Amino acid sequence: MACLKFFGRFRSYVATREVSVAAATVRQALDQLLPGNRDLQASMMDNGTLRAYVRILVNGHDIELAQGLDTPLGPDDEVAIFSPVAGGQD
Amino acid sequence: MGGWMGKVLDINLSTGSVATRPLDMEMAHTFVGGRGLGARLLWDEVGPGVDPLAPENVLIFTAGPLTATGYQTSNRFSVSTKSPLTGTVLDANSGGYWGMQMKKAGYDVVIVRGKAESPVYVEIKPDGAIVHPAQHLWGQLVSATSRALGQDKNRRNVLCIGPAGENLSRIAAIMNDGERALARGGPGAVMGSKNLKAMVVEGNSKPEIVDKERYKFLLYETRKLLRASPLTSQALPEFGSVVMMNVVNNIGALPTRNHRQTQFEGAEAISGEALAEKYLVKSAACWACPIGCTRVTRTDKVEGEGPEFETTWAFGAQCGVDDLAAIIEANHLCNELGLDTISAGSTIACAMELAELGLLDSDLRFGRADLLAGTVEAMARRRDLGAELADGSRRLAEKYGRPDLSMSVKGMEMPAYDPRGMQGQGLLFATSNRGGCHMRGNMLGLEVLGLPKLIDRFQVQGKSSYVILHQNASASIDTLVVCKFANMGVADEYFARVLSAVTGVSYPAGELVKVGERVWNLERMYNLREGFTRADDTLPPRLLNEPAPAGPSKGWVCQLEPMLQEYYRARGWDGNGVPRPKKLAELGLTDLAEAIR
Repeated sequence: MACLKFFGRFRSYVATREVSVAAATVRQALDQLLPGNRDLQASMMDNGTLRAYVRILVNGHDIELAQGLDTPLGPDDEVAIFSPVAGGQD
Repeated sequence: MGGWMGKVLDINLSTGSVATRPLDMEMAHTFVGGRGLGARLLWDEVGPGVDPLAPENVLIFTAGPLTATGYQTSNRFSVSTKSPLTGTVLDANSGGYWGMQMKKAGYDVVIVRGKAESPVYVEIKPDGAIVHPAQHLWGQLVSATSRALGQDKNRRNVLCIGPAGENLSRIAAIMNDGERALARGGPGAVMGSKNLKAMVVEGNSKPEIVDKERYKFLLYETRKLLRASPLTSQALPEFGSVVMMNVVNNIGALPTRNHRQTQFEGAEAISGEALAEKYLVKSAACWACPIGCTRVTRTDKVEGEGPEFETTWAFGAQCGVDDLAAIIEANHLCNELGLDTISAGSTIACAMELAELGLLDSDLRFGRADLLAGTVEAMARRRDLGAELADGSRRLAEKYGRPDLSMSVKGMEMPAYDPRGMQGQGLLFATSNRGGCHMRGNMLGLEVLGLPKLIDRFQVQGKSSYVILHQNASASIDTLVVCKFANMGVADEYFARVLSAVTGVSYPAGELVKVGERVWNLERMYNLREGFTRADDTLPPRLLNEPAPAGPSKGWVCQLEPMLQEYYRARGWDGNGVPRPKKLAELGLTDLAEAIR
């Protein structure tokens, strides 16, 4: 089972910050989770497309540079979902 | 005249004289303000070979033409000087209220030169400045100094050093409005070397705005843009910058235990989410800022502003510490003592590794959260082991025969991104004019966040063009001076429209970024004049030769050399990193070339 981890604001939409899902791709994993969670769905998706500010990593690598939502998932894969910003000291 | 006030205040602490003169408006139009104007003035004021802690060094405080206009995030200001940490050109900028007040007092630039015979503070008002004795303040913490001098939100504002600057720690910060910092590169030590404890400013005017109707429209549009961006309207106000901890850790680019690893098992415990859950009191904002990224936090022992992501990383993952309360307390101490948190934390990490290798006689070890506060205090006061850490990791590591264990570039400690996991960030650090710094063109947006688009963080070929774009754009924003967080909702060229509306001077699309390129090349020339060479555009051996041991970046080193060669070519520089005459002519900097022949 792949492990989906939520960060930042997404944590406020889920009961637990980590969820295990049996899915062959990232899309399949989201298809299992999102229909039952309107707030999470609205914050992540816009008419079936991932919102621009949402980043999804599989084992630390962004799916945009892989196969997008069709990026395959293995049984021990870790999927991180976040929408971050940056900061610094001047 | 719009934007600029047209006046320079010149304070000579050796003679006690105070003078004003008109601002050179041609220079102002060419270099705009902030970092750009500061660098140009520094070029004339501080020649090669000057000891940064000698009276011949100067402090040049600059606002920008947008400062104090009321435009969103128009509260920032810069200080320019020669860095006692790196020996390079240095600028640092800060938010809060002091910069706004300096403009309200009628000045674009305040220059401080010489050295007072005994501790003083300067009081600046529209009719000039008075130098007062400050022996009674010497030794006091930043908050006590600010209170004693009447810090009063947006009416009277105090800029000062703490004990770290008084003791000439080369990583000392200048603090303003209590907990804001001109942090990096040791400007606090320059101020301390002049026996200058504080500068207090009160003003009562406002900069003129030439095209008021256009400006009002742009102000309204900016408000909408910042509200529309979920980063500036939600994420930053809600979590602050520390939200980056889990992100950077997840991609395997979080330097851990003095860059020995690239992931920290304790990252969640010191994340923005954990901070919000356990220690956050409220968010806060600088003057004229709708974003409100500041965290106000409370532990059992302290309450105050911060910590930011870099601070939390430096005392956290870099030191192997997962105790967020201890990190908050270390941050608070740095604010009170006037220390740069990135350099302080990373210097302690260097000491931890030296101690673990048996080279340094100390109880410091990775994970010793209990020793953070005491070590920070000792550094600021140059007491015991603190005296050896007070001047940064490079001098410490050199003393113990292991200069390779200082995670610094040109002597400035690098921030919270491991170049083995972000190739472009490595090039940025190696080529940044003030040393190992991410705030001069942060590649985080492109290599991690997909802002404005995502590029492969392991890509090497072609990376330099992105780094150059970011460096130039970042420099241009630093001349205005506005907050880089505003840039997350507002595009670079948009600021040019605001600048044109405020000043009445036309800055067409691309012209403001050209200003940034001009500033970058001027800074480069300054460093070349000081004797810096291509050899200084490098990274610690660990990042070039030791592959990341585990995680998503496993097996990678930073492939700097091919990126550097490409970078020099794309910048219009020769193979030694010297700007070619054609590039200097294009930027109007031909007169500088003689200085390095």
